[in-house]
Formats: sequence, C-alpha cells, structure tokens
Amino acid sequence: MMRKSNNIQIPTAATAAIWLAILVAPLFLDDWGVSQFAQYVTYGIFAMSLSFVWGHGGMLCFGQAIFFGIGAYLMALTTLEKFSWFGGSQTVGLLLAISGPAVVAHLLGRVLFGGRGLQGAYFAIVTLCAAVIVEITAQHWRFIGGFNGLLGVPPLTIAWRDGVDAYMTSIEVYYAVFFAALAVFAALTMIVRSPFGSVLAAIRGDENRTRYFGYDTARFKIFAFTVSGAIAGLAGALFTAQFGFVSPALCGFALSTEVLIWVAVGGRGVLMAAFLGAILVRSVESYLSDSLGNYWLMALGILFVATVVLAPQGVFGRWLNLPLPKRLRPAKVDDKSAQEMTGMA
Amino acid sequence: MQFGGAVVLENLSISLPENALRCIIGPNGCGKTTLYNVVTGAFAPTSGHVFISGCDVTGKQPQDIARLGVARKFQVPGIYPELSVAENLEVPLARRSGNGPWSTIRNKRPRQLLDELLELCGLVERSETVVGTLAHGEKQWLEIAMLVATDAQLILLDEPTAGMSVIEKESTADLIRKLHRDLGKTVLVIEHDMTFVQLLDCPVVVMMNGAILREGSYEDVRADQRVIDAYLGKGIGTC
Repeated sequence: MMRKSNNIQIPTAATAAIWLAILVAPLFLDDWGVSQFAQYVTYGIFAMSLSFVWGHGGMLCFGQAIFFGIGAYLMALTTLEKFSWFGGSQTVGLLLAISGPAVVAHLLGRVLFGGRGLQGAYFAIVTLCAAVIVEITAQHWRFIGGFNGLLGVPPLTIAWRDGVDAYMTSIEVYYAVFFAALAVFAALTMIVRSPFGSVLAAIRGDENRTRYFGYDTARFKIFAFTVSGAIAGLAGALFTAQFGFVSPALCGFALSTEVLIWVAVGGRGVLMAAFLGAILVRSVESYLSDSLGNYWLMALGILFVATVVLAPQGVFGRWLNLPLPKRLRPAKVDDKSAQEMTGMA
Repeated sequence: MQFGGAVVLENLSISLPENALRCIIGPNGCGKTTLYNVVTGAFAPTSGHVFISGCDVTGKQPQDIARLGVARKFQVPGIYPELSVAENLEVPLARRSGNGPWSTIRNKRPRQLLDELLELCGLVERSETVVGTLAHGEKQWLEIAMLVATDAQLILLDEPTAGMSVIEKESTADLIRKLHRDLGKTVLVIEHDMTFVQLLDCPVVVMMNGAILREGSYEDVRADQRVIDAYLGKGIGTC
C-alpha cells in the first residue's frame, strides 16, 4: 500500500522539479543560450496545445500550425501598425493572437465536427489540406507580406519603461515566456483534470457510446479545439516577437508535422511530456543539425519511428503522468495507509 | 423498422409502465437489439412512434433521448477500457450538473455519489484500476452502475449476462432486482439465457420475426407451444 502511494508521488514531484529547473535555467546559460531556450519553451507551449487536442481529445490535427501561424501574423500585423486603429499595441496584438485563432478553430471545428462529424484519418487529412491551403493563401496575400512574410516585428516590451529601455532583455523575455508556459500548463491541467477531462477522454475512447450518456460530443470537441487554437495562437505571437518576422511557413504543413513529432516523442497523453518533447527535439536538433547537416531530418524520422514503436506513451509520458485527481481517488485507501503508518510507529 | 427490403420490426407495440421489470426473449435476429436502437435513437423508425413519459422522441438524436432519462447497456460492454473505474463512473455522473463543456469543468459533486456507485458494482477497492484489465463480469456490472449514474428512469439492458459464469449470473440478477426494487428504475432486459430469465422472475415478452409472439410469466411462456416451436425452429419459418 505504501509503495503504491510512493509511486503516485513520482510524476507529481518530477513535474514540479522540471518547472523549477526551467525557472533557474538562465543561471547556467549565457545570453544566447537564454534566448535560444526561450524559443524552445515557446515551442513547448505550442506542443501543449496539440497534446490537449490530440492526446486528450483524440483529434489527430495535422494542421495545428494554422493557429500558430494566424497568431503570429495577427501579432505581427498589430505591432507593425498594419491595423492602424490599434496604434501598434502589443497587448492588443497578444489578445488578437489568442482570440483570432480561437475563432478560426471554433468555426473549423463546427464544420468538421458538426453533423455526423469527421473522425480519425479523415479528420487528419482534412486538417492537413487546410494547412496547405492556408499556407498558399498566405503566400499570395499582399497585405500580409505575401511570399516574404513580414519583417521587423518589434520585440516584446515592458509598458512602464520608455524608449529603447522598453524592450525586454533576453532574461526578461525568457521569464515572460516561462510564465506564459506555466499559465498554459496550469489552465490545461485544470481542464483535463476536471470532469470535463473525463468526458473528453470518454469521447476519445468511444464517441458513439458517449452520446448515449446524453452528451452532445461535437460541442465538447469544438470546445477543446477552440481552446487548443487559442493556445497555439499565443505561442505563435510569442514566437514572432522573439524572431522578429513571420512567413507563410509558420502556418503550413511542415511546422504542423514537426509539432506532431515533438508531441509524439514526448508523450501525447501528458501535457508536461509533450512540452518536454518539444524542448528535447529542438535542443537535439540544434546540436545535431550542426554535425549531421541535412541527415538530421533522417535522424529525426528514425527517432520518431522508434518512439512510436518502442514507447507509444512517448519518452516522458510514463514518468510524468499525474495521478488521478483527488476526487476520484478512494478516501478509504488513504485512511488505511495512515492507519498502517500509525500502526508501524 | 425497415432496412432496404428487410423489414426487421413490424406491427410491434410494447408499453412499459413506470417501475416495471420486463424481459424480452427471442431467437437471434428477431429484432431485439433493433428495438433498442429505435428506442434510443440510433435509427429513426421507418414508420411508427416512440414515446417516453408521454413525450414523442421518434427520430431524435441519441443524446437528446438519453437526456430524457433513458440509459442503455450495450451487448459488448460500453465502457472505456483505457480509463479507470472512477473515471468511467464520472463520465455519466458529470452530466447531472449540465450538458455543456463549461458545466463539466466547474462541476463539483459530492464524493458520496461516486462511493455509492462503486458499492453498487462491487468495485470499491478498485476505483483506480484501469477498466480494460477487469474481468468480463465486472465490466458488465460497471456499465450497469454507469447507467444508474446517469440518473435515468428507464434502463435498457442488452444481454447483461453474455459470457458470464453461473455465479456471476446470480449476482447480476441480484443487481438488476436492486435497480428495480430499491432504486425504483424501470428496467427492460434482453436475454437469451432462460435460466437467467427464470432468476429475474418477471413478466416475459417473446419476440419473433420482429413482432411480439407472446407475453406472460416465465412459466406461461415456457409452456407455450408456439414459443417452443420458435426456439426449436418448428412450424414457423426461421428468422
């Protein structure tokens, strides 16, 4: 009994330890390393958005970059004052980058899940095509920079500082991204550990059966898809403010598959694992692409196949899978182990 | 009810008073499961009507019919094998506080309900067990508890004892009687197994070729020559 409760503690402790490690990471990195790592954490936010919709909701979305890209473009267009009535406000940019992709995801969800609804491979193929269409549209749309995208997107600023001082230092950017990631993790964790999470998992397991419990399953899927779109959009906005540019590739097919690989490698069913998957693959990539060049892509492919075959839960999935929420754990077992402990004492 | 040229249910009329316990028996392919499919909204009938508590539900969606207090157990256990026992029970329970995503996120239920349901299906000690690893009989009981969790008044069971041992069948009969007697549910059971039907000790409806052949007590039905013929394939054509 005690051993069992010890096992339950490992994922919780590991999750806390990893957040702590990410919090103090800048102490051990130089300036370049800090901004590099901030980018990985941004990709981690993107990965969590896919883990939520795919790992928890069972919707294999091959077009997740659509929402990332729209978020990035909305942030860039706002801060470059292309929408002149907002005066280049970064806050407005962020808000638009979150709500815009959410609206798009909601509408797309209504089309895809309404009526009889698309499932499995059909959903994957349609989202893949959608990503291709959005990318091509972005390439041909003059207002958003066409093929070249938009350059010179201003970096993140701090509202209460003036002039050049207003721009965040790399450490400040890092912590802005860190707290955004932590907030996303907290919010999504709360959602998947609420009864909503159980219903979403039920829909993933057997959607038709879940209808007979009185659930309008399409509504739940659209809701999850919308939340996921909003978070991918936030990641896109943070990305573009760090890189200073947006291009059509950000909403395309290639980035959509990349995020799928990060999430599959990390562990799609566990938010923290997907988050770490993004950081892991991106770090290994920057390390290996120097030495392997283009062969890196082949290495990534092998890594992906190996994970899918050998560890379907992903590299980190098993270790970071949090125990059931307290309301679903038997109160009696705790009493018993407490009794055992007092008995032993 | 008609599929292409095949008429599966014809001239079938069945009504169930509140808090009744009924058993439907009949040879394979006589339309027992199709009857459930029509009642729960899996298919809209080609003609005819379905009323639940006086409300015409003909052609409505499964989720809309379920919300009127109809819960159905499937022949192959309709449980979620990847999830734990407690999560399985939470899925139907969560809908008590509302139908939409927001209400299930905010949902705060008393712990007591879950404990009662775990007690009902005899899985108190195993609430964290992944359901796929449970024994077949336990899965069936879990699903019955999940139906109770929906707070439905009408409970439809499709072969709840398929693949069970004799002892498991007896426990299942006890469980079904408990739903009927203690919880006041209206229960309709499709069953093949005559010994189980006898255990339930309730009025029996015999179906044949998509229509009702006979209604009565277990003894009456058992003695009826037409029922014997239907099961042994004499006289009346096979279905």
